[in-house]
Amino acid sequence: MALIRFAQASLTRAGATAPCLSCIDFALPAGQTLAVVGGSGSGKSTLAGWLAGWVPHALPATEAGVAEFDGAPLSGALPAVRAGQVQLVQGNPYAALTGCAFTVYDEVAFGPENLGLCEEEIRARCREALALCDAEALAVRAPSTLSGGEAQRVALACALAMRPRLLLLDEAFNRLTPAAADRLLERLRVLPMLTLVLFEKSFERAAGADLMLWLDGGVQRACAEAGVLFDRVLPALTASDAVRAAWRSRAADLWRDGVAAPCSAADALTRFAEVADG
Amino acid sequence: MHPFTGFALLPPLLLLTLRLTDARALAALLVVLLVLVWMGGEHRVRLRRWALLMLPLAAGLWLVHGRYLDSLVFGADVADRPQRLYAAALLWLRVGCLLAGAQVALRLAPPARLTRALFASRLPPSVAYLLASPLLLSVQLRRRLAEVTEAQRARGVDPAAPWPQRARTLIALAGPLVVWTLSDVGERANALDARAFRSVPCRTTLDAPAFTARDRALLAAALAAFVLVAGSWLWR
Amino acid sequence: MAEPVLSFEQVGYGWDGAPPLLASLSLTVAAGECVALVGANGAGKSTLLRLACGLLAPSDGRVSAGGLDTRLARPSALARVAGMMFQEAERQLCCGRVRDEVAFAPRLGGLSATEVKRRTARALEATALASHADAHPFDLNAGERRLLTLAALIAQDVPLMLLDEPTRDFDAVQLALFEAWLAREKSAGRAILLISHDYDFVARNCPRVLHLAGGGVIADGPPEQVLHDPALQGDSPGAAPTLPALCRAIGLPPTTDAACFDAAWRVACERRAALSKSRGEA
Repeated sequence: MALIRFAQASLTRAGATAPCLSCIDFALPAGQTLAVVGGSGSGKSTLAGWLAGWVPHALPATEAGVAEFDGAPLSGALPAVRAGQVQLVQGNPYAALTGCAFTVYDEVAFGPENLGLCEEEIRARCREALALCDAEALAVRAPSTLSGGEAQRVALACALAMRPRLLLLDEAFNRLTPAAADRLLERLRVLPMLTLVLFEKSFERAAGADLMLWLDGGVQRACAEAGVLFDRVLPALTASDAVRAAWRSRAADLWRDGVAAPCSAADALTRFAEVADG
Repeated sequence: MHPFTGFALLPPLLLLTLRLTDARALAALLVVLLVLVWMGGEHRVRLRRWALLMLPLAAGLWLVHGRYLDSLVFGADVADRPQRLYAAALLWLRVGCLLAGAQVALRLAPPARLTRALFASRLPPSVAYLLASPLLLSVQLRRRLAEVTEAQRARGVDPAAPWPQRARTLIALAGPLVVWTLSDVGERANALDARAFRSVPCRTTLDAPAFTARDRALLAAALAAFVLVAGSWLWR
Repeated sequence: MAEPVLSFEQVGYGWDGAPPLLASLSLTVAAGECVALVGANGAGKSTLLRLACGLLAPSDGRVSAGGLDTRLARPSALARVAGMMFQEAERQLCCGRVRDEVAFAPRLGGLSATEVKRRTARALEATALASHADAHPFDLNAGERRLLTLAALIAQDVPLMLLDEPTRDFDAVQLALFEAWLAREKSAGRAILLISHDYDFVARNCPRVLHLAGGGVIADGPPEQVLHDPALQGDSPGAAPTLPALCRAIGLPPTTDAACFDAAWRVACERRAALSKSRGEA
């Protein structure tokens, strides 16, 4: 059964007449990865907030259509109650800091403490989350002194320590180097029992997902595999020069039928070679 | 030592300062307390903070209770000036003792431990958060102010400019700080929700400050001192 | 050669009690140069930018921006020669309206109302924010907010611009806008020093790259040469900059220019098509 299910769903902000998100229609089975892509202002962060259970408490809005998490309506539950299930890591990592902690370790432990878990369990979670994010060395630092990249690792560790079933990453790695971001994402993908939703404007970071959903001006344009959407979606997204070269070649009909679109720069090298040699 | 224990010493101190009516005795008590402050960590900051409050207070009391304005402007009779000034001195010493005592108590309860103790206490988490927020906010506001100052300096705001210009500077610095703090409130509420704050009635606190036998003894001593001072007062 | 817009002479810098972050570092940036600063997280890139605009004073050596010794010059004088885009856009926004935010530095600099207005209009136009002029900066999306900090810099109109990760929040459209602006400024003689992790962007726009590591500049040269350091590359074989890597992989002359690549690829495809056609006929 699908963990997340949207059917002709739309969201209208309080006080607005036109919906800020519409035609949202997809189903994501547990354990899979979805990438929501689109340019600036395409509605990615709004969808992230909706999935995080912010409606209507933190995001005053009304919804129409079907929007379900684990078979129950997505909105209405208190955000604090949903936090054990769903975690959202935002692009601005400083937004994740509660300000209730004087060290990074305390900040990571704050969530599990609120769940009323036993001390050993909390310590185990903190250890594991900090290790996964390569943030052990930051444990004794004061959260307010972290640089952007460091804060991003900590924000992710805070979310992971809650052991969510659904992890929403809203450009959560944009302050890390590309190599560090890829490494972290790879580790998250292999975590058992975790469903991931990425919100990205970078095609390549998104292309590794099982499913890609394209938002444009708050409207879902398409939802399919990355390779299928490649030709339509790339102009709106950022991508490496090699991948963009592949897009232009395909558009100019300088490509070979049967050779798939690349989903990374490394992939582009192989695909171009296939076209050239084939 | 438990962070709360230090504060238990304040009620008997308050009573004691009220009980003492001799300026010399109060001055001696003040000296003892200031020495205690000086012996602790961050004594420079704490003593400066104390002085920054107490020196203007001294000047104010002297002007008002000495009736210098009255006598100058209205030619009032100030024959009772010495008595009035003595009463003012007693008041000043009492306030000084209490402030110094509070500094001693704060030294025994560093913000990190005090926050932890608040969250581990029997108070509901929301009340604990409310009580802890001044501690938490001051650290963050200071940090933010430093960031705002830096960003504004890069655009030509001179924090060391002469006074007339500095008024404009202050506005340029205060603006973003206020905007930020306001936009922060919603953000902070979201962050707390996202970490399941108040989702269950009983939260765990790691490394909760323990209430030891020593704390109990000190608390008992504080209580005994309170009773003793109160008793001696009533006896007379 | 004309006097450089920015020069570091044997500069050392360290935070209190920590080993020095930068040691005897020397570099110059001339007018019209667009230089990229690359290096690992924590290598001191942002610190170097802060030193360059005088927000930090060097513990050793001398930094001069636009001929001013940053240690001695007042912030108001420095703000006329060097402008900084901080990594976190939110931290530098201080006004309730986009228009006022852009006008902040020129107003502070004591320019006439008409001049302030002219500069503001020009900056808003260059960043495509004119339609948002009366919006609150916090109501903009991340990319627009970044463009707003750029607009504020444009209005400040300084010969030296220091940009800390300028492209991070941009989508494809905003990036194109930014690159167009960058090209114009380079030819107009503005000196630009920027930090970026996007090596394709660096290769496209910055003819000179500095690699900062171990407290100093360990490489200074064209992007192809400097970015090739394994310490800067990820684990993937499609090493950045990716277009020259692609060229080498398929036997085309290496280039960072999209149009050059497209032309070469078209020729290669046509030659191959002709070849297979002649084979078919044979």
